[in-house]
Amino acid sequence: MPGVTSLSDPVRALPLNIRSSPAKRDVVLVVSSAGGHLNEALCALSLVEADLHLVCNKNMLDNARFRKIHTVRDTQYNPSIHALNFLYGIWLFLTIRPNAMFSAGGPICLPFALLAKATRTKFVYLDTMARVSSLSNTGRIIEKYGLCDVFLCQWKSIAEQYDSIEYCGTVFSMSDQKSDQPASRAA
Amino acid sequence: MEKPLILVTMGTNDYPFTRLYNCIAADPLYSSSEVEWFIQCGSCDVAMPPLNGTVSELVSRRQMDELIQRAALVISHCGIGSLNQVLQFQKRTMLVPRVERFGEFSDDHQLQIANEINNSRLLVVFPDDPFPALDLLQIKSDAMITCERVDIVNYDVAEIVKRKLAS
Repeated sequence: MPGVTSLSDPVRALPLNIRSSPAKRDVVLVVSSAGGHLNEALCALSLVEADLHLVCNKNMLDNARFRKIHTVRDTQYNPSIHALNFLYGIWLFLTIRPNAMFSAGGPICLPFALLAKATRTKFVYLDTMARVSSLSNTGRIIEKYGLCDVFLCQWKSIAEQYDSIEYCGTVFSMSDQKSDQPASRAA
Repeated sequence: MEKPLILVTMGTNDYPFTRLYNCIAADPLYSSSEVEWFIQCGSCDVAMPPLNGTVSELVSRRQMDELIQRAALVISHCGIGSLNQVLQFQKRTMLVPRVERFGEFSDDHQLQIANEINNSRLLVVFPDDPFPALDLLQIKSDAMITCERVDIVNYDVAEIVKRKLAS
């Protein structure tokens, strides 16, 4: 009889939203050093609805924004750590199969940038807001070797120096309306 | 009654910041029982803790949010993460940029960002400026103000990032 579900058929008896598999959400791998870089990443990803996996050098973040936080070793004083992080990155790429990768900087993103390139995973790189007059060291390497698909920069004066870099503005505002100080003080 | 909290944050990097420690330790309020201190020192050496307060190498982001919200005054290095958090809670903050010439960072990018700051609540103490004396009356007055968290995200940038990741 039309419109009647036989209770003898357990699959048909289930409501439609349980029977059908939900649409799979995109997975974005976020690679960012702790501190300012991570703060910038959180601001920049405010509107992204994908499942976010974070790779970071410290796990000081009790943030529900990320599905999982993967801690890697810091590379500040020992560049050979990059090789270890590269191997870890291979495992991570195989395990979570990201649709895209995002970084707001910090040298820990370099081996993951190579992996994104090798696996043709889209990589959006945002150079840190902290560098006002020139690219960060990590940004220079990313730009020089074309390791990202989209290179965003928060300062116009830097973006204008490179054809491959897009200016986007700062991820958060540092001004208030009460201030009457000049926008920039000479160093 | 709860004492007004002075929060000091030196960041998470591995460079020393003895200059900032010397400035706060020389202030009479460092050895006063009228205020409470919390010092997040990272890898910096705090030779003598404050008379009334806590010294911690690192705190979680959530704990730092709570401390900033509670603080009457924040004294901070000029790192982007700290800047972001004090701006969210609209706290009166003294920002002391780390500089290369004192071995406080590998370059002067904190000085560059300090030059871009245009906010009445943030006082930048440049390397050649004297460190201002802490004003107990002002601190007690600021302790009475409740600061709500404000959204400082630039959603135009967030929209660009969303679009670039999706396309």
